[in-house]
Amino acid sequence: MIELPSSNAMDAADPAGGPGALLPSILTGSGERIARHANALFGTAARLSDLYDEFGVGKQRLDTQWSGRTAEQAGAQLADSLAELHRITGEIEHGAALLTVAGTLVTAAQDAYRQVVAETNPVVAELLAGPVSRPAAVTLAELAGNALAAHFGALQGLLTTIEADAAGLSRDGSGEAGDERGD
Amino acid sequence: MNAETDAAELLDRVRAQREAVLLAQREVEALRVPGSSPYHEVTVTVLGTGEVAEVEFGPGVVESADAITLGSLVRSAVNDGVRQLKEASRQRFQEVLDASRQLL
Repeated sequence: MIELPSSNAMDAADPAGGPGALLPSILTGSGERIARHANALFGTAARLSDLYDEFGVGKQRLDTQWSGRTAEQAGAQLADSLAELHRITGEIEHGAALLTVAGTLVTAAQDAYRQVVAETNPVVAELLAGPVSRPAAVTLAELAGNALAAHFGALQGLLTTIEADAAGLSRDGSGEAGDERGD
Repeated sequence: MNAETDAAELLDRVRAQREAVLLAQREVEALRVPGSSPYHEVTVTVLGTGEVAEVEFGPGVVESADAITLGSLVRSAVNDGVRQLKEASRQRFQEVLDASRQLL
């Protein structure tokens, strides 16, 4: 559960609802959890990579000690499987890298919210309490809310790009994009 | 896009906006806005802080009007001054908003 400062004065002053109206867009993700998941995926990719190396060594031994047509067929099949393992490992690494970036963006959005609200909300509250400074409070709340919304919009755009990239990964890995084996 | 750099820029922008708003507020508080009754029998000066600084009666007004009428004229002049102050304040903060939008 992330802790965020109260934006009550800004929410009350901003006709658009203030930073509170933007909260749903940044509360749904935990940058730390995403980073942990990405690290776990990097670990999986590293283990697969080790496995790939071990299989590669095994294949080399087989190639030197086993000959004939059956050996060639088995060797070719093994080479295909190794290539597929290599491709999958690469996709996992790429997915983990995308996840790392996504986690960084989520954390950045939450940090930006935290800092902007922590600095602005007390000032808006003070202006709201003044007998003639309500317009200043409304203006400041609106400006800060707009700036945060624009910032989140830019981050959201990057996350959407990452999402599309990740969707492309899962599509490519599903075998739906053309089956070259054609059994 | 670098998330850290952009967050720093966001904070810089919000801080600059806050300074612009507080400057505008100080300017509004320094205003001296006139107000008057419909036929200028009474004129007032309202400060940006909301206080009424001056009340002036036109020639012969005090002698010719009763207390109720004088009260009504003063109230009318003060309300006019407060209305003008609100409009001046609205315009000043609209300038701040417009300037900010141009930067986006």
